[in-house]
Amino acid sequence: MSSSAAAVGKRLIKELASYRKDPNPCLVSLAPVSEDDLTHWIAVLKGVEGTPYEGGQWKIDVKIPTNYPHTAPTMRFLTPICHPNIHMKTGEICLDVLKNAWSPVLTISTTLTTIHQLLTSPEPNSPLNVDAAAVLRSGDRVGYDSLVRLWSVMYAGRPSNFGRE
Amino acid sequence: MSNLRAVSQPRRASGELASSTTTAVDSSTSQTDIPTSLIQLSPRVSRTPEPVQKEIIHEEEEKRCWICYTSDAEEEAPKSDWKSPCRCTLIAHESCLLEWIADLQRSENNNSGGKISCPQCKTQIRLKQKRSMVLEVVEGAGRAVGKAVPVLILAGVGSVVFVACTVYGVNTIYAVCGPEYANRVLLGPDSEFSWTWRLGIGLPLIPFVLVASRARTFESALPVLPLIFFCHSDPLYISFPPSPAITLALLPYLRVSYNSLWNRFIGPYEEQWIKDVTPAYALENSEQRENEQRRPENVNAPRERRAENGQREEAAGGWDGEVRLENHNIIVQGSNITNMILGALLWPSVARIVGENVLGKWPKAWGGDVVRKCLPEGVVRNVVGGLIAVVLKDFISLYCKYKRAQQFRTRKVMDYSEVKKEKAKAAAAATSRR
Repeated sequence: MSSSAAAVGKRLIKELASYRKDPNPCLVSLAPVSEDDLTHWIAVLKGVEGTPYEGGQWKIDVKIPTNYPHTAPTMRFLTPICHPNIHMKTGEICLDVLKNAWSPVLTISTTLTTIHQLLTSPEPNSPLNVDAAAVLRSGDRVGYDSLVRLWSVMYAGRPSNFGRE
Repeated sequence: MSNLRAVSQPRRASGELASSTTTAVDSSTSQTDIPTSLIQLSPRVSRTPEPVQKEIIHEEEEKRCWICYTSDAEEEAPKSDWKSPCRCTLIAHESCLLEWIADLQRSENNNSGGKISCPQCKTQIRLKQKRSMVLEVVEGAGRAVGKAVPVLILAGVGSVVFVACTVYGVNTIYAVCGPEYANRVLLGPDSEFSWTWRLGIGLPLIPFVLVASRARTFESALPVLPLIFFCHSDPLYISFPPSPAITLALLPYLRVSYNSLWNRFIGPYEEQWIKDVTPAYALENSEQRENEQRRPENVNAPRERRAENGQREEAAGGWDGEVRLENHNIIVQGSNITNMILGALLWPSVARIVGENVLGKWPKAWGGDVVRKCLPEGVVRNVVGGLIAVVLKDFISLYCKYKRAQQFRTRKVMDYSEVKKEKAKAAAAATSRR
């Protein structure tokens, strides 16, 4: 057990070093909560440009299991976000790479990239946020965008006059 | 839960990213790859090309395991062989790969049929391992059993139904025929039980035939059945006190002629009485629907059938179902079906009760001897009893329909002043009685 824990730590250190050397443009920051505990990271995700998420920043809680990288890390949004596949209250993310499509090729950084891309390509047919999905499915793009914008302004620090100047 | 469409794109991109950052074999392609993929992801980030290039050159020199992320340049790298099991550029330590494969096989051995493929290029990763006949046979058997489970469950349920139907069939034969004749039918002339195909198919078919005989759909097919099942032991002979076999064989024909007589002579009245108690709007609806359903060959069939169903399947409450049919189609049909099935399955017992207790004990003073002389066999008496029960039921329900229609035609709404008068009268009567 200790050897595997050491292996997990080693890989995480490598990932961290790799991220620091070559930061992920989707992220504002990515780091373990403390240097002692490498299995708990906090990431800050940038809103995708050209979308109502633009200008917002979301904290994501990343928990790494003991048999990483064989099992996917657990990720959830700490900052509330309005998205059909992300739970409004718990921040749970419905994404297949976080479940059965996980493979050790993925890193924490690349997984966060897939979450970043989930923001632009929501899948309203398997919703965790039923209301957002319903608005999107009804074809009310304007309403959906303004809903997302409102949440981004309220919680994610998007400037309220963003994009109007 | 899984989010396939949303993810297919991201995964491709992340895979690209992973492969190009972790392992770069051909420097020229990866140099062009990385910046484009990054630019796709985020056009705004301005990145100077130099550090990227430097990193790639740096990475190109070292091998890096895609599972543990250690490269061979490091001192603490695990002492294991490098393996490149697939088409793409991913390479890994053999020990890391083996552990990953073991983990996959433990968690989802049924998902991919035991095949392991590279997470990026989907090439199947092949393992060289000692073959063991025993292991393969046992695993194959296990898989076969797993696949066979639904079939086995179905077979189990089927055989339970079969046994239940057979038991019901035996009970019915004993009820209708009485023990003596039943033994003759079931055991054959030498009283030795042998499981013939006639019994194997015929006994469990009994409840189905009884239920089917209530539905009009099978009317033309049913008369054939007795020929199959009664032609073996008793030769059919026609005599006046009819033999049991011929009575049972004649039953379907009797039924058909009874039904057609009923439709011919009583059907029109019955229909009229049903109409009398049906609100006008419901009638209109049903007429409309009939027009839609009407086929060239049988213009009046639906109306007739409904009228008959009402009379057959619901004793006194038949009219009720007719009215509601328009709005609560499914519910009424459901109760009709259960009524029909229950009635069909209870018929043998009713036949026996009537045959034994009424016909068998008919008082001598009222011609009981003549009855018993004409119908000497218990079986025939039971069958005749069942027929009488059916006819009685039909006529009672018909009478109820008639009465109901009469009631509807003559009833009036009371004015409230009348109601008050009646109440006052009743109160006066009560006080005077005291």
